[in-house]
Amino acid sequence: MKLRKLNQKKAQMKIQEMAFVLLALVLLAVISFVFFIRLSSQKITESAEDVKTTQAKSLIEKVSSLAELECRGKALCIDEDKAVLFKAMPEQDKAKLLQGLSSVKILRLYSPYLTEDITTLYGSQANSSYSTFINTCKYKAQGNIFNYECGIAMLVVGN
Amino acid sequence: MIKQKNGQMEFGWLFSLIIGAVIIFLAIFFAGKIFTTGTHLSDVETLRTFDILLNPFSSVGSIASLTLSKSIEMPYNTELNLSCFPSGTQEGQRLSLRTIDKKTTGDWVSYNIKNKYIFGNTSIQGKTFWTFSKPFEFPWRVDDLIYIISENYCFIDNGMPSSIKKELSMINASVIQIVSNQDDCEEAITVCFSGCSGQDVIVNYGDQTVAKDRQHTMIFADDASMYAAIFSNNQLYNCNIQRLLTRLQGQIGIYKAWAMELNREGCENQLLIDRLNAFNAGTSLNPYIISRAGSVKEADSYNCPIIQK
Repeated sequence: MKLRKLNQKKAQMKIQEMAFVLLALVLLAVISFVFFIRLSSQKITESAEDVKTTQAKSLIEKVSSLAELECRGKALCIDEDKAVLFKAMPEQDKAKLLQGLSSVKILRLYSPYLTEDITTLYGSQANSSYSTFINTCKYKAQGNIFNYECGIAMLVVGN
Repeated sequence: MIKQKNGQMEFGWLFSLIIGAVIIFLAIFFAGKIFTTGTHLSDVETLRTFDILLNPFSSVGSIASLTLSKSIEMPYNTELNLSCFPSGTQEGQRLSLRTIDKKTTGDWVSYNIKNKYIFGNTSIQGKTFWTFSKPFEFPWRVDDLIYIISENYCFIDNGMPSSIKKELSMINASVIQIVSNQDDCEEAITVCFSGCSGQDVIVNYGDQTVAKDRQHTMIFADDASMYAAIFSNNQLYNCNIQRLLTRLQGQIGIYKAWAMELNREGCENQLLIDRLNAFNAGTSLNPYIISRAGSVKEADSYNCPIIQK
C-alpha cells in the first residue's frame, strides 16, 4: 500500500516536472517570438521611413516641374500667378498630383514685387521636411513685351 | 507491477513524440512564414524603389524634350503588371510586381500611382527594364509620359520622319534597333512607317494613327503619344490618355484664369481666351480635339506667350 502510494507520488512528480519543462519551453518560444517581432517591426518601420524620405527628396524637383506650377520655359521655377490658382484647387486634386508628400510650402527669401500669399500650397503638417532653392517668378509687362521678373524662395516639401 | 511500468514508459514516449512533433511543426511553420514575409517585404521595397526611380523621368520634361533611356536592373527576374483606372476614387495606375526565381514565384505586391503616366505592355517580364520619357504637349506640356520596355523593338527606317529617327538613335536603348531592311530584325516587335505589310506595329504619321496586330488603331496627338501607342497595349493607352485629358481639363481652367489675369495687365490675348473657353479636353483623342488643341496653340499671344516655350 505504502509502495503504491510512493509510486503514485513519483508519477505525479514526473508529470509535474514534464509540465514545468513544457511551460518553460512555451515561455521561451513566446519571449523569442515577441523579441523577433519587435526587431522585425523596427526594421520595417526604418525601411518605410527610408523609402518615404527618398520619395520626398526625389519629388522636390517634380513639384516645380508640374504644368500647374512651372514657369514657361524655366527650370526649378514656380510661376506666382499659377501658384495662386493652384492653391485654390481642391485638396483631393492636389493630393493626386503630390502623391508621396504631405505638405508643400514656399518661403520667399527675396521678392522684387508685391504678391499674394502662397506660403502653404498644400497640406499643413509634416513629420520631416526637405528643401531646395527655387525661383518664384511673375509674368509682368515690360513695355510692350511680357517677361518674367523673379525672386528667390525656398521650396519646402514634407512627408 | 512490470506491466504498469511498461504502460508508464509508453505514455512518456508517446507524449514526448507528440510534443516534439508539435514543436518541429511550429518551428517549420514559423520559419516558412518568416521567409515568405521577408520575400514579400523585399518585393514591397523593390516596388516602392522602382516608383522612386521613375520620379526623375516624370519631371525632366520641363527642361528637355526627351530623356535618355536608362536601364533599371532588378535584383531578380521580375514580372511587372501595369493596370490603369481612368476615373473614380481609384483613378491612377496600379503597378504590381512579383519576383520569378528558378525555384519559387513570389506573391504579387501592388502600389497605386496617381501622379505618373506609365506606358508599356500590361505584363512585362525580365531583369532589366529600359525606361525613358517625353513630355506630352497638348497644347502645352500636360505631363511627361514614361515608357517601360523590356522586349526588343525593331524600327524600319523607310518613311520614318527624320526627327523620330534622331530621337530613337539618341535615347540609346539596346532594346531599340533601327534597320533599313525588315530582314535585319532579329526576334523583335517590328515597327513600320511606310510601305508596310505584315509588321506588328504600323504607324501612319500623317493620319496620326498607330495600328497594332491588325486589331486596334490608336490615335495620337504628338510624338510622345505616338511612342506611347507603339510601346503599350490598346487598353492601357486609352486609359492613360483619358487620365491625361482629365488632367488637361483642370489645367485649362488654370491657363484660362492666368490668361485673363494677364489680359487685365495689358496682354493682347483675347483670341487665346476665347479659344480656351471653347476648348474641352474630352475623354479620348480624336481629330476634332487635336485640331482644337492646335488652334489654342496658334492663338498664343506673341507679346505675352503662355504656351510656347
